[in-house]
Amino acid sequence: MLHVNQLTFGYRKQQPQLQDIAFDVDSGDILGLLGPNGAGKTTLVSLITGLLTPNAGSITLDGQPIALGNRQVGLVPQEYAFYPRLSGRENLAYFAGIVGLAGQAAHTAIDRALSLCALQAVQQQRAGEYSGGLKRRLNFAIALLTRPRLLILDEPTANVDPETRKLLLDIIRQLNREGMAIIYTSHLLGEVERLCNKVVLLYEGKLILSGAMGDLLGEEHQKIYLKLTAIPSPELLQSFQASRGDDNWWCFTLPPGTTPATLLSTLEAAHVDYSQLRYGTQRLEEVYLAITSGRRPAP
Amino acid sequence: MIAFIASLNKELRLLLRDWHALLLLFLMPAIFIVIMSLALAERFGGNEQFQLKGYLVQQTNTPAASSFVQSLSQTSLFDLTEGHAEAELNLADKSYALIIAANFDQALDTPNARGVHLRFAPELGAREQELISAAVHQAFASFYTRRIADELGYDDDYAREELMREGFIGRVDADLSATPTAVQQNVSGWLIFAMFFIAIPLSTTVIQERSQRTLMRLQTLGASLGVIYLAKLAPYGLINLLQLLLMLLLGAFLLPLLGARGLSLAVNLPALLVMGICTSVAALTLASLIATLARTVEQATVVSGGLNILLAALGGIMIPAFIMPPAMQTISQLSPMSWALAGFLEVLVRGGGITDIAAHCFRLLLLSLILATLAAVILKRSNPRG
Repeated sequence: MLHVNQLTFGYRKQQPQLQDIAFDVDSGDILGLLGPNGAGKTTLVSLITGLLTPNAGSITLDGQPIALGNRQVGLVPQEYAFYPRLSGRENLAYFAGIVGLAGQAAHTAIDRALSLCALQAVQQQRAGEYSGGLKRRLNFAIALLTRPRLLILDEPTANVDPETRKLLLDIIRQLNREGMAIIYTSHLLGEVERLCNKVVLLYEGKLILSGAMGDLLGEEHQKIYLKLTAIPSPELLQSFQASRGDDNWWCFTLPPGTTPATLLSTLEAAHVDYSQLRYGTQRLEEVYLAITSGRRPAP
Repeated sequence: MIAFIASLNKELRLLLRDWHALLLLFLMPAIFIVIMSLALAERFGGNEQFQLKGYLVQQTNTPAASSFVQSLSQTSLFDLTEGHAEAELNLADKSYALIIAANFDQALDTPNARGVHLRFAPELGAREQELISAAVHQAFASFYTRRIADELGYDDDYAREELMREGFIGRVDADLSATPTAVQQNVSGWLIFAMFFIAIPLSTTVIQERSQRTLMRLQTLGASLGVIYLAKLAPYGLINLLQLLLMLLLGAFLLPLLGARGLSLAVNLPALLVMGICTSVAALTLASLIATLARTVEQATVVSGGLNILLAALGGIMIPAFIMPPAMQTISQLSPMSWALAGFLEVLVRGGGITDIAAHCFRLLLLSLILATLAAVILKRSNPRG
């Protein structure tokens, strides 16, 4: 569906903000777009929506180059991009008019968006008087007017209460089940882990990681984390591809055919004791931090 | 078209719900017009008789003194009320006291003696003091010439016609209607000032749309910036024309109720409308340029407000250009508000038509073209997709 191919972009060609970015989003995917501030996520979103033009590479939607104003692509900006002095319904009516919807078609689209985002009860209230959660919902509802095939959500659950967060995530899942592809940027990695089936990690304008969430976290099942009281020999560390974490925690990768018992007996033979042990159930947040801090190479 | 109508509808709703903007655009100029028209009613031209208000203190009632008082009363320059020598003087009411001294008769026959004294309010300007002194001198010269003529056995007519040569200086009738009244000046001036003030609400909404990324969202939905901006400008243009209508009605109907001379609307109304439209176009394009240049609402507010006041001060809105020194009058021609004011006064004061205001309109429209081009170039640069 969406194909991003060797994308490079920079306001100045000598200083690219994004370099050689490539990934795909298919119908039914929820892709988590991750990266620290300044990694290039917003620039990438601007490129996908056609607000910016790449210096090199391409972005296609169903084989067609992406263009500004493509209503197959919906955007929910992080900011409340609507008018506080208009009511929720008036806001939706305005944006419906902008996309050329009038009369019954507009009413139907507005009612559907209001219903999906549970805004019917407050539709006549001015948007400026909404709570943070209601504002997020309205921001979301506007993007649904055109029934896009690809929806880009920029921090949609920032600063919202748990109920609204759950509601928004439920709507995203429902839309996804109906076939809508989602690109989801968020700093809430636990949320991304639960919601997304794909991950793209940007760091300093480069694509560090791209793949299925299951693959990324699944690797961790072959790992054991130990809090050691001494540092093992380099040979032992190398044989288990060990890397050091915080507070004397070490991550050991079990080679094929070995078990945790093999590792523990090897350590015992080397007179290296440990005080705590846990199996590789590392969460996305830990993977993310390990990669972005350079403690772990990207897979 | 649907997008344009939706945008127009949205802008009108936003504007009508912005009470601060409405107060700024309608109440502020209305208050200025009322206050300034009433306050400056006597400082402007018009058909009212110009009179110097003061106290007459007559310390002697001799026939000579009474004859002098009669000379004073014959000139319509003086509006004298009987008072006492120590009466309090002020600019607003009686600004001088004319005292006919008790020794008036003796002084008439004594060289260098003083028989009349003038006392002025401390804050009265030197020019006004000179004017009053000259008028009193003229009245005294008339009285004294008649007295000499009488002593020589001639009659009053001889004194006036032969000795005073009163008819020697003739007066070319001036078209008094060519000078604006306080109401004409202030209605036109503060209307223009208010029309240019749309820069504040207009640039504020543009900047808010930009910073809240609403503009970006609209672009991703396929809305063209041209349609968005055109729809944004249209309601403000209507507001400008509504300002024109309301301020003219205020001048014509409300001010007379408050004691000021009303504004006559028996003028060329199409010319007035054309002048309003040209002024509005200039105000809208200036507002657009400010909106594209300013990054924050604070910047836009300060720049719009400051520039508006500067253009108004220069353009003869706050201080009429005709009372400025010649150098300042030349500088005032640089302000587009002075072009608009000249156009409005041409219609309201001199009964001008469309051909009479063509030059003023041309200047305003040329400026608008330059401002709009600049705004479009800056917008294009800051938004390559625009």
